[in-house]
Amino acid sequence: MPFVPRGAGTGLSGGAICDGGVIIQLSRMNRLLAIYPDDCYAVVQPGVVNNYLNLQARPLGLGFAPDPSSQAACTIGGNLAENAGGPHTLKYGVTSNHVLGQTVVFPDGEVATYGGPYPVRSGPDFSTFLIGTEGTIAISTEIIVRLVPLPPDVTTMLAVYKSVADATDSVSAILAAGVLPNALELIDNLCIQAVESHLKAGFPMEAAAVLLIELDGTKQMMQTKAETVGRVCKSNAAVSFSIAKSEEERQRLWLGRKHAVGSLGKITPAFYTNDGVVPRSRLTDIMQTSYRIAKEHDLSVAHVCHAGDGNIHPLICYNPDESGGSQRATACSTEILMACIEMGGSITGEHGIGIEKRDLLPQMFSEVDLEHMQRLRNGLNPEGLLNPGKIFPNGSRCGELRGNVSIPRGTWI
Amino acid sequence: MDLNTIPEANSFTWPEHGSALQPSKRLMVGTLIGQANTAGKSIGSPGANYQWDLSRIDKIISFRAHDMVIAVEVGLTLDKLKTLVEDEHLWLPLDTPRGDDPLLANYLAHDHSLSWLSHHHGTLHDWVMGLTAVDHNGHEVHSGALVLKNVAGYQLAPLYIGARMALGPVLEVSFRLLPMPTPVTLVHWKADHPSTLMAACQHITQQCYPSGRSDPWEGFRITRLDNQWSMDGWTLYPSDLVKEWTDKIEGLEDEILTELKVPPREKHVGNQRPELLIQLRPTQVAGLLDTLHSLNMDLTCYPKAGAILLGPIALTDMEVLQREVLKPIAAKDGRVKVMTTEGAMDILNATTASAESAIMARVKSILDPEGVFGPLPEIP
Ligand SMILES: Cc1cc2nc3c(=O)[nH]c(=O)nc-3n(C[C@H](O)[C@H](O)[C@H](O)COP(=O)(O)OP(=O)(O)OC[C@H]3O[C@@H](n4cnc5c(N)ncnc54)[C@H](O)[C@@H]3O)c2cc1C
Repeated sequence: MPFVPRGAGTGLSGGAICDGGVIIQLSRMNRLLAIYPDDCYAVVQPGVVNNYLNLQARPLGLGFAPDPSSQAACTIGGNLAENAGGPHTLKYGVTSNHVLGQTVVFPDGEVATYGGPYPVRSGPDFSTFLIGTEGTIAISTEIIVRLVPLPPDVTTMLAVYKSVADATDSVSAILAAGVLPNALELIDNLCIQAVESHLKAGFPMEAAAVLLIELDGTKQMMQTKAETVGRVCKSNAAVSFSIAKSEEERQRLWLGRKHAVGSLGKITPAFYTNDGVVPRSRLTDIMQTSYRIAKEHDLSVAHVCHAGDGNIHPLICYNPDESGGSQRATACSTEILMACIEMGGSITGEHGIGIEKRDLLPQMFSEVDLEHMQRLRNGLNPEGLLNPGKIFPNGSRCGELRGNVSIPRGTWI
Repeated sequence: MDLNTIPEANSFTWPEHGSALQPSKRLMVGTLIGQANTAGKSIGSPGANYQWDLSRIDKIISFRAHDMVIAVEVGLTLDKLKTLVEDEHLWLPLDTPRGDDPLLANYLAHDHSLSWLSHHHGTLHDWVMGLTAVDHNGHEVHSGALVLKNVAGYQLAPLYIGARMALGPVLEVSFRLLPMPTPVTLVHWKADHPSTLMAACQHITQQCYPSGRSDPWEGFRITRLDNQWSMDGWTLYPSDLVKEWTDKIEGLEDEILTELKVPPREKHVGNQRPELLIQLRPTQVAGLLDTLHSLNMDLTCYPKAGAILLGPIALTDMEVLQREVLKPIAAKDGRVKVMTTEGAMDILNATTASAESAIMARVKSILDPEGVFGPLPEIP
């Protein structure tokens, strides 16, 4: 009988959906087993909620860096399985940069521990390989996570733009100026409308887009960087640039960002959350393409983006009660993802493939590539009972879908 | 060159691109695909009957400075790659303590990326975004993507890094990059006991960050060569501030402070390569350095990364090393890795963790069922 591990069920690609079989619900394995502050790591069960770990670590001056917007609910096991990211990925990396080891159970019941409480990984690392395999090879039952020192100080800035292109141009320009913010997020007008309609985060309603930019470090070091960021934003036509003056103001801006997706429910009966990545220098192009494609489908699309990473989340608004509404939203989503690939990007930066995108995977990888990956899945999950039907397309579909887009040289790797 | 006509074992070929492998498939792959690097060591195990020189597979596939990613073939050397990105004011925060300029092929195959940057920036595992390898049928296989974030499909890099090409040779690799940090203050001290250096390290951290958790040093290491202990570190803080932190520390000799415009490379001490890697929790390092002080052995230590590279080790020291160091390390859940290419030594008996070796052997049997590539390294 098939079985599927499940954390909090916040995954957005259907990885924890079980078509018959048994769901192994891990949310009660939620004990924080130990924190070793001087060695900067913690040992957790997979059902520990991301926010809870952070709340426990904070008084010790530490934090778990991956901070998906769903962190109030999602679990460390789910973060590991999806290789979750978040706004602070730009500087601190994704989950795979913050897991040092794990104990897993294989489908045949074998239990094994890989990695350990050593701060660096050297040589072949099976634990790191498992990160992002979406629960298709083994179930993580105990996880050693790296905790990072909280920065001495943070500066949060808001840049407001009359055009989305000016905002996206600023993103590359900030990094080209040698500044590595810890977060560089973009929120477009439709999202701003949704957020401001009930949260009052402080985003101007008339803005085409805002950038939320955060630096961390010592005050002295941040000051010159903040000045550089301000200069770059203004030279890229920001209509205003401000620095949060208090912790309360800072928190309000972040509340707006973290609830941007959820807020959309206020202005549309339904929306389809998408996740694609492009090289950062193609952000302007992909945003324009996304609006164009939505328009062609007679739909509206809102965006929140981890812009510094080139990771876009088009939120396609549709009415499921309208005939053909869902189909149009799906078609629109697929076209945007195909555009990401054509620009040298990926069909997912953090939400995973699950069942949602498994038929699109052959657009990124050749049959040989997929066969190679599936060898590993079949070899380590030989009866295919653990989380079947996820990530990889059913054989026949590979051939059918392949060849619709051209992939630029170098995007393979 | 027609690879199908390769006459016999123990010969070399220098293909210009990995696609040259395609027609040759199995015949070409033989028992081992290796490469004689600039330092004379080859990838894989000795006794292989076929060696493949990757140094001509050395093109830049894609370098988009604005996107802070680069994809290259593995015949490029680490220095070349670093210089290339530095010319665009970018930085690849990887280094090697070995003082050589390895081909990326070798660097990847042996994973010599544990360095004085690792406590902040990790190792190859943290910077490789994707790779192209050759499978057991001679086909090219790809994983990852050339963007900063990607979770499509399985990421194979963690299995191939340090696997000595036993799962198949890696031909292309892509890295994410950082903006170049600047300016830089480089510090060098000497002391007659490691505890002085460890205390200094602690003191500076607390001066800079009262919580004592953040670390001002981008690069940091302690070395011992011919019984002389020294510390080398570099930080983004200006030299006057660094001087302020360090002025009050007693017991340090020969402080040298240099200002640099670009991040320095780690310098290799001595003439020999390290032979053993010991991994511990950072809080266990000071105690072990004390023990090692009483043994006459050269070493390089990265305290915050919980790592000590030991060697070279004289055979006469082996017994005392086993008794005084390796067994206690194993008892404390530490681990010991052999860094030489010559394969496992008796020393491995000191450690226990076999799960990693077992799973890698399983992965090897899945990806290379007929064993056409060279053997895996021992992973204690
Ligand atoms: C509003 C909202 C915002 C979001 N924002 C982000 C974001 O910013 N960044 C981001 O990366 N994601 C984001 N997500 C997606 C999602 O929250 C993450 O993927 C999260 O990591 C899933 O965790 P979960 O505990 O809910 O896992 P689930 O949804 O329960 O499971 C996800 C996958 O992990 C597997 N799994 C779960 N636990 C284990 C285990 N212990 N061992 C093996 N496999 C396991 C499941 O089988 C499934 O394939 C968001 C989702 C929502 C709803």
